[in-house]
Amino acid sequence: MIRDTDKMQLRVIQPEVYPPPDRTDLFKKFPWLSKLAKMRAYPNVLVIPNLVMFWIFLLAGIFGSPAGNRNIMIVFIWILWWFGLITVLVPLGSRSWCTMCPLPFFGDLVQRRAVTYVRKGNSAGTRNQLFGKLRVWPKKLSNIWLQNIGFLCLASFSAHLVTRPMATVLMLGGLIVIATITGYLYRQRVFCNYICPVGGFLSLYSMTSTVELRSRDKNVCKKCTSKACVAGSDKGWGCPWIIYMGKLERNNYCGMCTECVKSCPSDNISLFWRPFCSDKILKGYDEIWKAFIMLVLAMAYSIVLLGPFGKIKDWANIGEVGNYKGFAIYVSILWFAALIALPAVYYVAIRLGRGFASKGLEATGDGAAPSMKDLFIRYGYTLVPLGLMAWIAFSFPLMMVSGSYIISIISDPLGRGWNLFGTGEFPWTPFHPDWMAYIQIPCLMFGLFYSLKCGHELALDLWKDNRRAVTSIIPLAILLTLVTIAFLRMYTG
Amino acid sequence: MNEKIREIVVVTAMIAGFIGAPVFSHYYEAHRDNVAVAAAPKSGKVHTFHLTGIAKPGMWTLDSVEGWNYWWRKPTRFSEMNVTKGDTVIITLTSIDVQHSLKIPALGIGPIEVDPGHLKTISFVADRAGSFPFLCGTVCSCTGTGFACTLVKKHGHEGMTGVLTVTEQLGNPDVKIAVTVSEAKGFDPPEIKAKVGDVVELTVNSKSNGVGQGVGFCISEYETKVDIQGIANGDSRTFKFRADKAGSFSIYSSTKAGEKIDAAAGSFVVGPK
Repeated sequence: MIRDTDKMQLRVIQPEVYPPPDRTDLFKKFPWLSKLAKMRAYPNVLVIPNLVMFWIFLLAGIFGSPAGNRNIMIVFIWILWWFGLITVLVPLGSRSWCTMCPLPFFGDLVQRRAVTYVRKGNSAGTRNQLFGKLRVWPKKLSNIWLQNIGFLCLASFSAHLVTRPMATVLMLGGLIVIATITGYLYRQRVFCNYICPVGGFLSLYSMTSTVELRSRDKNVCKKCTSKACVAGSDKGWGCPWIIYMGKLERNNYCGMCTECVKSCPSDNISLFWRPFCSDKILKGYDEIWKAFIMLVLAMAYSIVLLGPFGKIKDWANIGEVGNYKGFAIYVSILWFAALIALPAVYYVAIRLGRGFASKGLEATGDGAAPSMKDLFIRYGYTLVPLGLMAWIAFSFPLMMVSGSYIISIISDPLGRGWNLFGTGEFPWTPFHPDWMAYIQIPCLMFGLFYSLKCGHELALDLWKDNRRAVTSIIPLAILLTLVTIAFLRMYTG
Repeated sequence: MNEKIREIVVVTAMIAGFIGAPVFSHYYEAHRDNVAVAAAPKSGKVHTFHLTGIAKPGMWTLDSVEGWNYWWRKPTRFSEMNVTKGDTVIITLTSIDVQHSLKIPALGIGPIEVDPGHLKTISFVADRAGSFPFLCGTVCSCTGTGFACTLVKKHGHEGMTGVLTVTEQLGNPDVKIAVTVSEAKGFDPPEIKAKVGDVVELTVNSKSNGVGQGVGFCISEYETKVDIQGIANGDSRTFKFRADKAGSFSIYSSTKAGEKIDAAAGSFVVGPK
């Protein structure tokens, strides 16, 4: 729910008349992009090949080599896809992965019973004919808590998931099944909005992205009687994410499927290029806890997968080592750090900052200090740029050290000794591991810089006074700097 | 294009993709097997062994170990390759976990190293009768990186042994001889006898203390026919050959079985018909 205070801040940061000067209308600049988005075949031209690839990955996971570095399921998903997603797609393309993701395909199929055309009708408040039970998702679950917990659960088994193809098959296969069942039971993309663990972190980090799908002029939206973006039309399905473009102000829950581009009778929807970290408003505890979880997991993954700590690796790798006590300790620490320890430290930092900044506030007659709740949630955004860049810093070594597996896997996707293109025996060749620190350090510093910059902007917005704003974020800035130093120490030894 | 036709075309293409992948896989591997057979030397019958090395619990197996059955696998240990002299042997090697290698020391084959998920193929003609141990010749270690590598702690290397037995097609035996080998008595009986032209069925029982590489049994000047190696303590090995040369020939252990057995001697006497 958007509170009134948030709405006020939203107006300050995101003007209603689009595009503001720092936006570039990409559909105007590159008309072919607009044509592509309006094509009925888009995004299925991406989804269907991805689906077939995904099918091959599943087969490889089931019938291929159980050795992770010799199976396309592991190498393409946990090295290539992950690296591409976190370093390119999210920062530069927002949730463009969701546009081409194959997981909800069968859920959509069950609901739409069509792949290449739009069914006209009148189902579930849309102008499309939809099938299935079309229930409304419970309001209590209309947040990303399920995604938060789901992602933590998966992360607990990450050492196993990224090394054993069958574990990844079970996870992704399970997600397809859930997406299909929820597609049958509930209207639109409940799975993507509220369940998909990947969608949860995409929603958070897409806020930093340099692109956005928005209406060009919100006044046109206000006057629009059809609201075809959310209700659908004969040209497009109603927004699967149930978003009315006239009120869309953040990237978080827009899957960029471009159905609104197709449906809009006024051609009022476009893709905009914008500055990094343009969406700055977190709106609830579920979102800020997602930021806590992601930051802790970036550190945990760095320790388990990149670090020299054999004992912790053994604890985490329950499938191979079978140390259940160690695994229980590892999971307990992970969950405690993500759900309690970091939020507690963050709370203390916010509390201290508020205390410092509000000294003498009443005496000067400048009004009351922002509430702790507002500060806690709003300042949470400072964890987002740093978190994203920490994940990018974590992901570079994966690609640089293990990327050469991709070359051999292209020729031997199942790890069964194939040699389709002559590269099956390409040896493991790390790419300049000595360069890693020189990439990771700037990444982290860039993240810290943006976290502090956004923190300052948010503080100004909340306190309306530069001195108080700066004072209020000093403890938080120290905390963020300490986190950055911890990452730097981890990566550079 | 008509809406319905377009829908049918797209859905059909998808289904073709779904079916095409496993079909392609099946035919690719069948074709690869045929190529291996075509590339192998042409002699006698072709025996193909698809060996998979498993570090934990340490074995070669003919079973297919894949992603789906890796966790609850109970593969059968493979330790005996039986072929007839003059036959072609094709061995494909793969590993599911760490680097393994196959070697058959007595035939000068290997070590052929194989990394997880790779495939190595060797082929040869079994032109020498005998019983030849094969084993994993690698002190297996993880070949990947910290990220993609499995954390196998115990290898069980010592379990990855077996025997390639190459026999001659000789029909029913004319003579059956049993010899026991031990530290206490050496070869017992120390002298065995046959006549020229006899088909001899020889059973060697090992009663050694198990030190060394297992008991061997070899007859000088009959090495291409009788070369039994690596019989573990308590095991026995039965083998047939034709005594086609008259004379008295010394018997010795062809594998390092410990000082006493290595020094033990016996004789094989082949009298006139």
